[in-house]
Amino acid sequence: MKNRLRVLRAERNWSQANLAEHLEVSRQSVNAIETGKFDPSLPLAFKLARLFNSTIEAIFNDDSE
Amino acid sequence: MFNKNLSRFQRRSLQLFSSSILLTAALTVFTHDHFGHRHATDLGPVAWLLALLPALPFLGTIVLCLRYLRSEKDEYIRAQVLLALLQGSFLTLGFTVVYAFLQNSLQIPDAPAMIYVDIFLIASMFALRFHLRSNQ
Repeated sequence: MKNRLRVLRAERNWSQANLAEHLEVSRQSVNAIETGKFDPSLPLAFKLARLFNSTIEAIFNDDSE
Repeated sequence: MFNKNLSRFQRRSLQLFSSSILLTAALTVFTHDHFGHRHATDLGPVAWLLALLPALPFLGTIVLCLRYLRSEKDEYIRAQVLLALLQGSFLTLGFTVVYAFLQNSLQIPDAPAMIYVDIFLIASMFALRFHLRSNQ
């Protein structure tokens, strides 16, 4: 699944560690989500959307569509 | 000694996990010494207790693992730990099958029971380290 996390993070000048701190997860988790190796659960996706004042669909898009 | 990226909960779980493994090893050595010096039939019911003794901390290790997986909030880390435990199990099963075949065909001696625990734990540990390293 593709996502705009890297772009959204860069707009705020946040490192992966900063974002991980906001989400209360490890930096490895942020890296895995950002690179598309790991798809977050709905609660984490909602948390991301809230953090970036956005919607889940605006952050993530399904490759199969 | 521990990775500084670990949370307090992960550090605490790792400490408990390590202590439990060390206790398993210590009790195995103790039991082995007891069985080594005296014949099992001489010990009577104590032999059953001695046989069960090293299994208790290992069961504790399993309980610790389950408790950790239930409480870990980081879903990515939880998935990696589960994957590593599964890979450890598969490797242990693989070893068991190969060793059983060699034992039957080459008449080699029995493997010590604790080797299966060791293989499982070491394989799981390496698998977890590999997964987390590959995503630094």
